[in-house]
Amino acid sequence: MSDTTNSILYSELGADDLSFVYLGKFDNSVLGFATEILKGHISQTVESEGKKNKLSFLMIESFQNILRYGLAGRAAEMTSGEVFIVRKHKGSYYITTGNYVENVNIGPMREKLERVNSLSPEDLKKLFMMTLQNKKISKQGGAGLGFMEMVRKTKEKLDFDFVELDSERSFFYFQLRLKDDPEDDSPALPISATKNIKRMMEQNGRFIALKGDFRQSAINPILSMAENNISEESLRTQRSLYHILVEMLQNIARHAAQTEDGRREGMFSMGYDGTSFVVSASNGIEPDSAQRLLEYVGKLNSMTREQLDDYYKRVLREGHDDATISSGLGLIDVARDSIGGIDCTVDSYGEARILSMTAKL
Amino acid sequence: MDTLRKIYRAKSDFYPRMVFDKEEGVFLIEGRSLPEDSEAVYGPVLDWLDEYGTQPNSETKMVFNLEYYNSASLRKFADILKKLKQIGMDNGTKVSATWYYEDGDESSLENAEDLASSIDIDLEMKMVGNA
Repeated sequence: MSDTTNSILYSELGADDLSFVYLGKFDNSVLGFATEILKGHISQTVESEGKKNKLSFLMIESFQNILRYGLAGRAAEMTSGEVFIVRKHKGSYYITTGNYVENVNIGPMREKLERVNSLSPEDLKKLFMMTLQNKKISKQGGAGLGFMEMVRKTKEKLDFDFVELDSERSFFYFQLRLKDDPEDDSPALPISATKNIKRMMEQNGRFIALKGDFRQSAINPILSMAENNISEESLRTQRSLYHILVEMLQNIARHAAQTEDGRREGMFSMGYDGTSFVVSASNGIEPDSAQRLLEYVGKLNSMTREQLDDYYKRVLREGHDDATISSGLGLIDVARDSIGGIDCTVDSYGEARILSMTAKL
Repeated sequence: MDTLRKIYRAKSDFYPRMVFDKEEGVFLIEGRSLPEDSEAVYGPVLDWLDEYGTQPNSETKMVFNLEYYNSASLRKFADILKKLKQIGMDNGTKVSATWYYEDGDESSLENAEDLASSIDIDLEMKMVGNA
């Protein structure tokens, strides 16, 4: 059965220049990886150092909000259900978080958020300065100042939603918009988009998805982050998975159709479906190349393990008989490591062809 | 009193490099300051300043040179500046601070201005070149 998660996510996030979705373990190390991943992806589009710092600040504050307001004593599950998303959509960046909160905290949180949203820039500045002078620190440790800084830096209202789950807990969605292009007057991404993405990821057990330009060295931080999520697995599993990840990521860079401005657009996701780890890569591709790759993967999938080993050695020795497949050993390697071969599909979205490959381990 | 210990903290991904050294006259916070628990990082600094304040140098120059910092850290910077100002007033010593910001980083500059006016302290803002 074909796994279409990646291709569906790709179409959901289709208009984004950059999307980063994370549903895994939340701790400060993840924040480090996330900033590294995003730094690689945004360095080309954000010229000004100030904008980049602002974006980093907003990401850090949002992320720490999850840690601050998240439920205490949470088990370090593979997928906690909490979500962190950064998207560059049209002329704006969006940072969205979703996390569990105790219902008793909703009142005070809502009050703070609405207060900050209702203030004029002047009044906000006054309140900000007063808070800086005031020694009193709120129970959660400076959340008020955080919200104020978010509004001051984005010059936009804070978007949020509480979804009640039961008598004790709710799910809190929170979204910031930072205009990269001050003229961007496109309607803000709705929080319902985040709900969709989260549902899609959860249903298919994905914990990381990244769409963007895979041309540059964006790969290393992705690997570190993935490593962090599989650190409890056996060394053998870790190695194989790592191997598949590297090949799949590099495959995007290699096969993605180049956009007009030279980007190599692709999408990557990783997850655990209950029995195996799942790694998917999607990228836009020229129809001809798509056909060739489909056939090539079909050929690899039809081979037994021994045949793959032989083929691997032959390519190692003599190179590829088909010069148009420049992937060398990568896909053979993935085919050797993955359970049931590589799932390869081509989907059409209007004119565009999206090639998706999924491997399980 | 002359044996006031020094604070020296190496920088890491989330914590700044910090030097608080009375003898050398160095009071420095630089790098990234992104602690979730800002009290754990800056509590000891504030305690140190309390002790330093009982017999401060005739001049204290505090330096902030930060790449990224979170709002919880900003609040602590305000506390540090407040404390320094108090030390200056109590002892009649000179107290000042320098805030470095990168070219184009308006938010950092804005925060410095907010700190300067809300704490009412001599805070010089200097631009650093892009490294």
